[in-house]
Amino acid sequence: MTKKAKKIIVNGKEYLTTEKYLLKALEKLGFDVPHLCFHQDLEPLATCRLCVVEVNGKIVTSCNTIVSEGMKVNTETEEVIEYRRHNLELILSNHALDCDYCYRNLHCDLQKIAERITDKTRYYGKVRKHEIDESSNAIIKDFEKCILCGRCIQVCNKQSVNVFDYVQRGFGTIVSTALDIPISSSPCVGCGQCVIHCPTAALIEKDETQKVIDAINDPEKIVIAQIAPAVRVSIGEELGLKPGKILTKKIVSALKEIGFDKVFDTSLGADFTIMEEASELVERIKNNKILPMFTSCCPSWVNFVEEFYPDLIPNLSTTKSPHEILGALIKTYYAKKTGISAEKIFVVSIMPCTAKKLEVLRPELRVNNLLTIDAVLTTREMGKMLREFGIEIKKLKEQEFDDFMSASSAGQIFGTTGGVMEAALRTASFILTGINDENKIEYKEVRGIKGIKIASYALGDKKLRVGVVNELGNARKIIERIKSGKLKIDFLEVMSCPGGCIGGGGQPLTTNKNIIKQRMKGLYTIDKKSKIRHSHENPILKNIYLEFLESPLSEKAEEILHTKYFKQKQYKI
Amino acid sequence: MITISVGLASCGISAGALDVYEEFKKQIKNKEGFLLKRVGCIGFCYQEPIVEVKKDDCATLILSKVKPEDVLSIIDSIINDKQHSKIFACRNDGKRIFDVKEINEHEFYSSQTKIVSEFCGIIDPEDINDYIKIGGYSAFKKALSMKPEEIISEVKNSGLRGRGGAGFLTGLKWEFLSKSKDKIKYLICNFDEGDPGAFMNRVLVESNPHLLIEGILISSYALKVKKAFIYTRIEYPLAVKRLKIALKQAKKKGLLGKNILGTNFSVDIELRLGAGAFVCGEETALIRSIEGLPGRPRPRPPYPAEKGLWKKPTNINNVETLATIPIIINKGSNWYKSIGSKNSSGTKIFSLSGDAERTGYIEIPFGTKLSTIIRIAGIEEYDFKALQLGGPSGGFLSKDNFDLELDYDSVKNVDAIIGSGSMVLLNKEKDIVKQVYYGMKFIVSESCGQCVPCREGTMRMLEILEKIVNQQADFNDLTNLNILARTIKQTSLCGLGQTAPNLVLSSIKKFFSDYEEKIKDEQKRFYYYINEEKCTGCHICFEVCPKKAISGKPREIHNINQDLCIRCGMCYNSCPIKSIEKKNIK
Amino acid sequence: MQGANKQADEEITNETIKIIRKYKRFKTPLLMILEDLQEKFSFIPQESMFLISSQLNIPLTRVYSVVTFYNELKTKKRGKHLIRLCLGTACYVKKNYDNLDLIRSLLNIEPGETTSDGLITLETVNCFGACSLAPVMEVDGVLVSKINNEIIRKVVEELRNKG
Repeated sequence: MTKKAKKIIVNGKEYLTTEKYLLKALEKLGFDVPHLCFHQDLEPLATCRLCVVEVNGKIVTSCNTIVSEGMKVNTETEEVIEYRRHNLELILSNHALDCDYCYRNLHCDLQKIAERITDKTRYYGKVRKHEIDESSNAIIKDFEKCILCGRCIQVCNKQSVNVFDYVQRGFGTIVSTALDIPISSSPCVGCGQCVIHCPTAALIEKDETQKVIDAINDPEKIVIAQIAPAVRVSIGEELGLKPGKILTKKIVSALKEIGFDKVFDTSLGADFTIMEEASELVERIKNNKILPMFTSCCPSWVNFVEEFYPDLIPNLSTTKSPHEILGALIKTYYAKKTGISAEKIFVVSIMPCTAKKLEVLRPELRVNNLLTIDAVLTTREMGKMLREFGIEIKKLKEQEFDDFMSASSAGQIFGTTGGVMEAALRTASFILTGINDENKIEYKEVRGIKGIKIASYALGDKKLRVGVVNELGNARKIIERIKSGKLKIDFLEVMSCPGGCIGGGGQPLTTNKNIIKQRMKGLYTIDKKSKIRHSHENPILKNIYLEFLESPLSEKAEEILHTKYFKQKQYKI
Repeated sequence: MITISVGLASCGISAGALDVYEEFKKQIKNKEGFLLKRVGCIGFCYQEPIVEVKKDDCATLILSKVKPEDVLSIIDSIINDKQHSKIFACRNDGKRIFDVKEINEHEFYSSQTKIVSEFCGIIDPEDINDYIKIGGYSAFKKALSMKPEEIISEVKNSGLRGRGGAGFLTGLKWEFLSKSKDKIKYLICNFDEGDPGAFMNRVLVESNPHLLIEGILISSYALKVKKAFIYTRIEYPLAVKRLKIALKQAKKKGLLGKNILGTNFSVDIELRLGAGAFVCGEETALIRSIEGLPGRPRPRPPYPAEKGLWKKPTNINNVETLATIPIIINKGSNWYKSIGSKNSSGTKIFSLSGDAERTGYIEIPFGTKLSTIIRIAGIEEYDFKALQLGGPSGGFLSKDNFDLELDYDSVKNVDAIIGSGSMVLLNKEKDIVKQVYYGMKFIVSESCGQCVPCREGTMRMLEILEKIVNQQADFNDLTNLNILARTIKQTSLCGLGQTAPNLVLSSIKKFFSDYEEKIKDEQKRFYYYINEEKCTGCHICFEVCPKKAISGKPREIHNINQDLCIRCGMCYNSCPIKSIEKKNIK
Repeated sequence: MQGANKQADEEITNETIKIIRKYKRFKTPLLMILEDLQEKFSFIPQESMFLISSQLNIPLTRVYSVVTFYNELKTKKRGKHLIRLCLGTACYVKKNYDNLDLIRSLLNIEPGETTSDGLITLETVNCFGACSLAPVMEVDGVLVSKINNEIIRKVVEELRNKG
């Protein structure tokens, strides 16, 4: 259904627009109206009051003004410019202005607007003083940099986790948790959507770059990096390139330049995840065990189930997440094969995700009492490192992944919503029918950024009903439908972040749904061009099963590639 | 028969009226022919506790500042027809045996027109039969025989404007709601009278709650509402108590609930309490409060009449507005229109407090002059400095406005608002800047904190005002205050923020000297002139000038009249394109 | 001591459940429930917030946001006696801020605090609506009008003697 275009008059000229809200319409028409609290993926908040324009003689905020036929808009009257300047000065007068040392220096929405309008303020007085909340290993909250836009509150509500809200009122209003407890004691699942929507450095991830650099500089340590699928189509944005640009082989070079000893592909771990998980699914179906089975590669989704639906823990697949699998294999199989002592290996996961910083500390994921992953860097931290080391990506040669070279493209589409499902279906189909049907590689129904997708497929003589969900609010909806009996499915893929990992909390900033779609396109392009599109066809994987694990769900596989889950309190006080 | 009525509204009680009542109760226990009555407030709050005595067919006597110690002597004087020293007036309802002023000749009463508050202090607020005796609920019965559209049309014709502050035409507001096709609609009575200095709604509810209930019933019928709410301040426990009693009594008489008086009309009235937030007087914040949320206003549109309480079309009216409805229905809209002024019909209850001899509440027709009000309040014209009208969101009326005939539009023209109707009188010893500073303190403590201009801006205004009060400020600070005020007024999300700078803007215009005398005058004064080639006519300097020394229409080149200019430099500091230049005065 | 705490906790739980049931038939009754709790306990206990959250299916964060937004809902228990001073416009004009200073020095606490012996809590209110009888203060729920230094000292003394 096409929307009817409306005529508006902007600064004296006539234009047509189909947008609902005036700010979006003006942006599309090329008018740059400053704004801070507005985010294209969220409902208008109208709290910063910077987007004011004059409409039919009245001063209004353009972000939540609905376009009407014939409205006369002025975006640059002296009055409106003055009001924007003063509101910005008011924000700056109550903000920790340490840009030089700030995590978001040169990447900050507030800084960008201050460059445009004014970076000085004439208002001085009381400022907010608050202790930094560094309790969580994933997310750090520095309230002195908060502009109280309300985005994090809306986003966490959308995720149905509800960690934040406005507390108190007036000048003393803060954005805080229930009972002002530290984030680590709250129901926070670590998804990082708050971080990725925050316009300033009020919410950032815990920076582990120094830890990694120290390990690289330690002559005793062998530092191995593994790169998540989502990172290869997103890291370009950190270096000024277009979203979705596939930079896999260049990143390998870049990381070697920085000093990593080896660079592996997390997608290989994903291939193992598929082998184990698809086998587990088939086994559950054949033996009438608990269904539906839930994927478990998304750590904030696992936290979500452990906190809010602990009775559904048995539905979670016991298979570990891809990077954990790879880490476990590195510190057992790889260490043995190469003769390097596992204690000397330092594994760094480069992920689009903040929740993984929490995941790696789970005691049950240790193997031989060693942490399988020693540090997690987000795409942003990686970008920062590249810039700090002066890596010029254009000048680099392409390199293949070390020793563990290839992953199938099934492992690589893990980075997008529907990717895990599609990869699993490709392998489940093979397990159930014994053949790789060339016409049935792409499962288009599970692709796309839509929040909830339901489909059913006939694999051999079995009918498989599947669900694919992204964003936790949608996950909660689906679970309620499953619990009430309104929905019957066999297998559910859940990703906490919009669009899947490509929209993860660790991704380059100013992520929005349009950019996510472009990153998604990048991954499916890799899949289309790949020679090996099935996890079970990956020769490296086949070899490791032969040499080390025997077969999926074997005793060895259970020991190294599977894990347990535990009920978690929502409020740990 | 001797009826003794003791005024037992909150003001009376806080002055000791309850002890007086108890003492009377004790003393007449064994006496025949005495009836003790509890009544509300007649408005003479500065004379509380008030006792009225009606003996047989004699004129009612009104006694003031009654103490428990006076009770015996009062009873004695009644029995023996002696004139007690505490009698200060009588009513025009019987034989006059003493030489006392009739109340309508008293300075406090003579200019009043008691329509809505007519029976406040006359009837027992906790007895529905008292209300019915004086014609209560007859308007409701009449309304039930009319069509809803007729009632809306009557209200429209009456010209009644919302008494909560905005002054929007009630009939028009109702018409908008009636157009909604939604089967579920709500009516909310806004009894969140949070304006400091305002207590007229409290008095009305404590003295004649049934008038309000009748108004709500008629309104619900006209708007086809099945569920109405009264949102009341929790700081008014006596009003809440009396409302609960009144609702119970009305229900018992079949005036509330299902199939009222045998008709198809059913309505339920639910009481909801606030919890100490002035901002909840704002319509969308009030709705959020009932919805179990913090009272943070929502941007409009959508307006409550489209999407209000629980997303349903909702109409919100003030207590006084709703209490006026039964009177309009009974006496007709044309009668109501004949009282008041052209653009504001009827009367308004104002509360008088501050530096006045006579404090309390008065009900006067719109169009009454400021000079009359000053006379009523008992402050001499030479002693009068300002009247703060409309609370901390209002403005100041000064000596220049003595002849101003007060109504919604006339006060707007002099940078003030009627608002809730609170009037605080200030004598010539009062410092306007301190008054503004205090008002801003209130606003800062009540801001919800959602939007930047109100949350950050009002605090900054407060800090600048503090600087000025402490004589640490210069003209730059004053200019900043002025521009900040304008920003907050124009860009705040809700009415609280938009009216927060009113006192500042009003006082800079009217009492600039109060500011000027506190400014550090260390800086040299310059001679300012507007560069005609640069001026774009944005009109900001015109608005900012405290002495109206700048002339020019919007989009025309502006000019500074050097004879009026006091060289404060505020225009120079406010011009967004720096088109004003300065030269040293030689 | 632990036994007494357990009893107090049980009382809080039982009362809270009772109050929640009382308002079950009302739509979005959160504020009504909190007001009853405030009256009963003079503050909103943490346990009550948890119970409300789970029984009404409201995120705990929102319950806390509501409690901290409204002036009349407290998170700390009040003392045995309560003095509330009006800071309305009329009371300001009649110098109630000076009265506030006097009480602050007599009790040695700031508004919002309780004396160290747990006897008296001092609070301010933004207008009781008794403006024509300014300046006004409320002592244990009773409005006292036209207060001055003498009245204030007497009130504090009486409360201290009452204990």
